[in-house]
Amino acid sequence: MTEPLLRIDQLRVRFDTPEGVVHAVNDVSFQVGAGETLAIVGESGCGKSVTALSILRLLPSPPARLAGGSIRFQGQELTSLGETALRQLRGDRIGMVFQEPMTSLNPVLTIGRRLTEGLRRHHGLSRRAARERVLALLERVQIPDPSRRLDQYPHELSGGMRQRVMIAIAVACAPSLLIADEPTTALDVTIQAQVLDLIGELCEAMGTAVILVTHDLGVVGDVADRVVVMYAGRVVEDAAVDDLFSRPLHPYTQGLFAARPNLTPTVAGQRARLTEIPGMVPSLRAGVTGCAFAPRCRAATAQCRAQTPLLRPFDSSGHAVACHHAGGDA
Amino acid sequence: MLQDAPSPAETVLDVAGLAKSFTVARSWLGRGRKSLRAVDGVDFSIRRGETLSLVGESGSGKSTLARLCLKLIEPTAGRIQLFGRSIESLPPRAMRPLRRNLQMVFQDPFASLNPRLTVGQILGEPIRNFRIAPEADIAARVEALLARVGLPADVVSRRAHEFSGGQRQRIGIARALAPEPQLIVLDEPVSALDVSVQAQVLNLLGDLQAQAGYAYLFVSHDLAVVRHISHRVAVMYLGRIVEIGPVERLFSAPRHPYTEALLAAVPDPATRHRAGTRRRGTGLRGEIPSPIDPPSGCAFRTRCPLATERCARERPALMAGKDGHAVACHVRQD
Amino acid sequence: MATASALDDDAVTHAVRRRPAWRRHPTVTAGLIILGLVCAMAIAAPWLASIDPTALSTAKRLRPPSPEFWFGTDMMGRDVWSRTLYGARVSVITGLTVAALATGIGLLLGLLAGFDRTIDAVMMRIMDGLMAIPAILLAIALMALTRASLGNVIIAIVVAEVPRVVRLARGIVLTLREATFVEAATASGTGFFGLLFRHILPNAVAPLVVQSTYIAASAMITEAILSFIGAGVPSSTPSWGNMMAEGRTVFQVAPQLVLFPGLCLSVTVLAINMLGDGLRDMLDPRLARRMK
Repeated sequence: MTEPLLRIDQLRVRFDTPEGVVHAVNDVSFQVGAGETLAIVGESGCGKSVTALSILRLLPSPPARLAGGSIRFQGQELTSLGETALRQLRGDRIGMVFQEPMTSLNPVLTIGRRLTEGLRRHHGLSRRAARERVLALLERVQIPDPSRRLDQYPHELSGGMRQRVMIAIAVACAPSLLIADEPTTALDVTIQAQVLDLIGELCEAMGTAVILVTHDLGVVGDVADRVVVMYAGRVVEDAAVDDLFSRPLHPYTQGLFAARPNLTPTVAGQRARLTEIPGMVPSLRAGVTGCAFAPRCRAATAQCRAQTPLLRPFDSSGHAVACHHAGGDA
Repeated sequence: MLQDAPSPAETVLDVAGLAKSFTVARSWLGRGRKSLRAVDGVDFSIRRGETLSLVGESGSGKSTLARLCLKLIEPTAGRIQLFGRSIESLPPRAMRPLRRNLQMVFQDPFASLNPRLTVGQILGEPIRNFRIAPEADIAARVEALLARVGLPADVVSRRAHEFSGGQRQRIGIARALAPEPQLIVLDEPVSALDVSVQAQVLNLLGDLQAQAGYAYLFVSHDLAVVRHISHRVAVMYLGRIVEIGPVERLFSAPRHPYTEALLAAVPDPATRHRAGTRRRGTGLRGEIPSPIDPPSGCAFRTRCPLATERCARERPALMAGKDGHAVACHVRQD
Repeated sequence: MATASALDDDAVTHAVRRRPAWRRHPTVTAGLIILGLVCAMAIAAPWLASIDPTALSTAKRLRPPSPEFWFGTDMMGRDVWSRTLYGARVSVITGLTVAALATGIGLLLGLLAGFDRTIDAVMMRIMDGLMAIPAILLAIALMALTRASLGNVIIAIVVAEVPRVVRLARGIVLTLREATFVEAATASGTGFFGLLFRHILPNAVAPLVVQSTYIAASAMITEAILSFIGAGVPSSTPSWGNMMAEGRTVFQVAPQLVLFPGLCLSVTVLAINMLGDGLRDMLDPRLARRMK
């Protein structure tokens, strides 16, 4: 079997806080093939962002601590890589886009300064050549009137424009992998559609694989090839997007679909109650015994409370689920 | 007057020509003030037991409009009638007892609860202010309120920071219920919550309305949530209502091009396109213009695929059609 | 940056606080202990000091530290230990009184400025003017107009410190007036005074308490400087400032005359600053969370 672009194995991330150790990511494994778009979905606190950020070791440490596991990118182990080598990967072979573009753009630098700086430093371009390159980049991310934008400061741009600039920076070196952490959460829905389209088009054109971290199943359905569902720091389901949408296996995934109101209601003219997932996400501070979802799961049995279910293949299509009772009438 | 059992079709709130401008930038030496028309001539009414939703993107003026209805900010122009009584020019002191009928649930469940007060103090405040119950009965009232929003009675002595987002929003809802209001303005009440908790809060809101017949003014940018909870929907763009109508009609047969574009932009798992034929390029181009310097004529024309020369010249009025479905568009009006 | 949102709030806020408060905030604890000792010194000065601090003894001038005179004697034969103890009184009184008065007056003026635009415009220009003059120069100028006494020193320092408090209080009031929970209280039918006393003031206390510790420290230093240059408390009252001024001329023969009061002043100011920094971290939950 050929090596995938990115393979994460048994990743564990801990946060050392004054109140105790937070088990943020527990034995997470998944892989991303070249050119593939993988979505990591889950609610706040499920460890999806922590997983994505730990690939390039972008978590502040302390409190974050890699407690085990391996991250292999193009056959290279990243967990043991030095800071200098890692920095070369960032922005070159792996691009990043964050939720709030304002915080990742330096407010006192113009967009042009910010964009040309990297090009001039990494590629030794002249000021003029760098400007040309940047103009082309901004055109590529469909920013109207790019030469005027170059002399503007981040606060003069709208959220959507700032996110386009961040995407321009992230894809400047045609990376093999783009990690997008909730890239459209802060944006309006029409702008979200534009930005998602843009990411899709650019990555398709360059053959870039994407890891998209999101809480929105709608976004997942629109852009992903494959989906990893996380709950309480663990992967509970891993499937091709069509398999997941047509047949969600984990009770949590099923709950997520049922809890979400739809644009097209099932019964016309009647307001049905939404299906709630009772209770709350558990604290990740204490080590969880058994299935973390068991306290909120209607199908939970004594086995679920005693024994942590492992992610196991469910069928030959690569649909995997971490549930003792998956496939039954759960 | 307000204690009488109202008839089913009773209008709780009626606003007409409501507008709010903010002075945004004063140029050097204070000359040439610029003003921002956040809400620019809005008419609607809400009946008892009805949910009217305001939808629109950020900058559409929907949150400002919600606060205007409660007189949390003073309108620049227009009329606000609560049970037929004009309240737009009432001074704060005269407004205070009327606030009993108009309550609000805020978007941010963290910022909307005073961190120094206990749950009991937070819920006791409106009960005391409006003299809903004698001092001796307040504790029992608070307990009953907590029960109505699904919180255990023993939380009264805890402070806001000890609760999760969903629980805080329940406290915020309980506070709004405390004076037994007629209208509750809900400003993005579930957008800060996770999907599973969102469902819990939406169900709670539905149950409460069914029990007590509250009118809701529901402000949201999430069309799926709006689809679920509303009876009628008003779509806002740059401070004006561009389309208003019953939820079924507005979602199944939208008439304004902006409403169409909003609906098309929502990624909806249920209407997901098959893999390989992903929705692409059907979205709206460009961004919402600045309300400081809005386009002439129809404010939406700069992004509208149907815009004609008339749209730049003339501002379309909101024209009522069949079944209370009204649209402000030259092209789609006829 | 992303960790705050990535971590579940429940996991953070519902955490069991296992360690007691005094261990979680060691700087506050240490600052309080040292300040407690200094205050105890000041209060217990008459009992701790066996010798009258103003008693002159020409026969025992400039003695080095000894079992009889723990800190030695000055050039007029006065016991430095006694004088240092009594000097603590001046410093503690100055620090506490200035902090209380400046914070109280500043808060009142800040509230007025925060609620009324016209008052705001006028007052902030005055405060800007006062702040343009370095606090120490302002205090010296004010002392030049009056007679040297502890009361006048305190008034002069208060005048110099008030603008900073006004600025802070006004900023806090302006922010809190816009806070969502204040809006929510308005919707709940709370009137102006309810908003002020229930919602705005209690939330303004924490930053003002922190600020007042810095004012106390700064006031002690200003008092010492004023006394050092002879513009402070009268030389008949021992204070750390005028002790250092008197000892300055004989520093090479009897360094203890400068050393002991100087050391006391430094340690006291350090303790207050530790307390202030610790309180800031303790009272600002956002900052505390970021530091975790």
